[in-house]
Amino acid sequence: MKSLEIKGLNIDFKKRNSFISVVQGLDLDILESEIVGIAGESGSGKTVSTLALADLLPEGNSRISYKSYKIKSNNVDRKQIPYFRGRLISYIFQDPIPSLDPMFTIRYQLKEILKVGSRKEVDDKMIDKLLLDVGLKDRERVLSSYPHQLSGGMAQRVAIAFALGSNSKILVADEPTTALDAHIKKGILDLLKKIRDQRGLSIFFISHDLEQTFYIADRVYIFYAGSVVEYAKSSVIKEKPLHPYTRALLDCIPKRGVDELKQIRGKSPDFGDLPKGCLFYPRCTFAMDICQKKRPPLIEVKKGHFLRCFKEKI
Amino acid sequence: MKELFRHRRGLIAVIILFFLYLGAIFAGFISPYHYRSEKRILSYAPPSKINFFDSKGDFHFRPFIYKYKMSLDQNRRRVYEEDKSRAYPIELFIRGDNYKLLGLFPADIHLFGVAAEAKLYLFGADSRGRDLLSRIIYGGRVSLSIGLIAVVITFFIGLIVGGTAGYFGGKIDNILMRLCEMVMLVPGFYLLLALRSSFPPEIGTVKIYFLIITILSFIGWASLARVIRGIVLGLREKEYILAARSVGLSSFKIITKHILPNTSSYTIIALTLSIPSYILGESALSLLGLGIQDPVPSWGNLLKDAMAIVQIKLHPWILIPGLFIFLAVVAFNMLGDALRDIYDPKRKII
Repeated sequence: MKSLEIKGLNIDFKKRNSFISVVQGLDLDILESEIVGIAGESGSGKTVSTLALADLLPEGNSRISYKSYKIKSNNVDRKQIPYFRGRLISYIFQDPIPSLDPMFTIRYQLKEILKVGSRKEVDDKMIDKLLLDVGLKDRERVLSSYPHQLSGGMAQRVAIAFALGSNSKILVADEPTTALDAHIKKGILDLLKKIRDQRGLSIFFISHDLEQTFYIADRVYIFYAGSVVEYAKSSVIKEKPLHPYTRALLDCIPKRGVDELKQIRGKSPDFGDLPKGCLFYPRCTFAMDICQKKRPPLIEVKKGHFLRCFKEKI
Repeated sequence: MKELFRHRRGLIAVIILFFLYLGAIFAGFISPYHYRSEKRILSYAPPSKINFFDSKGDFHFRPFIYKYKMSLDQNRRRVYEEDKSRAYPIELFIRGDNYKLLGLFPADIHLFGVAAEAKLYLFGADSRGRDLLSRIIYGGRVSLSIGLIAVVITFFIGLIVGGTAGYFGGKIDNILMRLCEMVMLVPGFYLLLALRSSFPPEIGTVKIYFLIITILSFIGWASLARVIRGIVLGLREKEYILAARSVGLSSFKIITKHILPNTSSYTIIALTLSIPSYILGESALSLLGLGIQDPVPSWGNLLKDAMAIVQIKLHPWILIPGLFIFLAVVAFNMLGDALRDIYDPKRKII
């Protein structure tokens, strides 16, 4: 069953006195206990669209609209969405240490969150169990520490414990491994997988690293400039990426034994001045005439494999 | 705390303030006389000379004083001499005027003093022959506490207004900040006078005391609120605030539990640095006769005698209360600077 489904999400940001559109007509869904990867470069709208799921974008400077928002196939009114924060959807952020309040100990903050999540008295057993679940062994030390006293990996585990403590059904992990050292990234990924298996949590895994995304996710959305350009089962995309942008991203992953590092030419488009045709057209190596004139629709090229490109069709 | 004691100027400031407040708290015990106790014949008596050698030149371990002997010179001006017929040793824990320790326990033991026939005026006497030292010590109760209480009220208002304006932004921010500017627009001292004059001049001391506190905090909160708002605007964008919002904490909890505590490194410093202005504000009001009224002393109204230049020329010791204001103000400034050095390593100069 679909845990969450949103259709036709539009997000505009205020720039000076006009609004510019940063996410256009996005459809996103996640099944129960599924890990959905969201990949794309910086500024492609990954974070913005997932923050919009709990109405967390700065008020006054942004505008959100959508066709439908469903939780377990029930339509949800816009006003109810802030109520989901921490109860239905919780978040882990890229940099774990700044996302913890520097003034208070971990114990204090964890208790605060558990109180929001459970509305019951919080005892030490609950805290211990949570820390055990996220694989923190030296529990006393962690609990009495201030955020700056923790290492990045530990802090990220604490942040995951916070997210679990709020007892929500959907976890948005926004680049949870980006700020960490390379050798502990896998530990965090495995932990997320374990949590999914044990608790039946649905996880949105946001990353610009396709390898990590393929490793953890069941399904992958590829974002480019505020819209989905390709999505399918992660094994499918891994085997046979169809969109030129997906291929270009995959080419950028450094490989052992290959000295040359690659990058995608050009830069992602300015949201105030989007190309008329395909958004990726100016940077695409397979560009055709039609790409300049018309924006390609998102079509199902094979079963469960969606693509926004003219090339496969023609 | 440890760092404060390692900071030299900070340590000096803490010691000065410790003694000033100790004096204010135990005013009755430490001062040799009650602030009301007067002997008009000794008007403007000079500071008592403390002697160790008697007229025969013998050394006494316990210092002693002589009685004042008043006479008039040819200009009918008072001249004070020492009556050397009998020495009055300075004694510790001597019985004297009645007072209430901490305002609760009746007592009559004073830290030091002399037998009742003589008068020990270490800082001289004022126009009505009252001991200036005792009045300064009692005056500290008013002057030092007004600063603290007014600062607490100011910060309460400033934090709430600044925090709300900064966190919500938009219209709320606009309205609150314009309100602040309206308060700041009027020059502080004239606002102080105007507010004071809107109340009757002759009201009870306690009422005046709270009136001064209210007036001082009414003037002070605006500039603080503006700075707090600026800090909160920056803090609002921090990831832990987003994280707090994402777990569903209410705006009220986010402001009070996560945003305002994070302004504390600034607020503690600003708090310390703004106490002097409150002490000076009270002194100024009392000096002009709009504040605490005689006979209750405050450092400001003790200086009232010193408004006439001729009095300063004849009796320079009446300026001593000003020295205490100076000391308290400098000590609070030094403490504030020390706290800034400790809390804000980026701006460390040393």
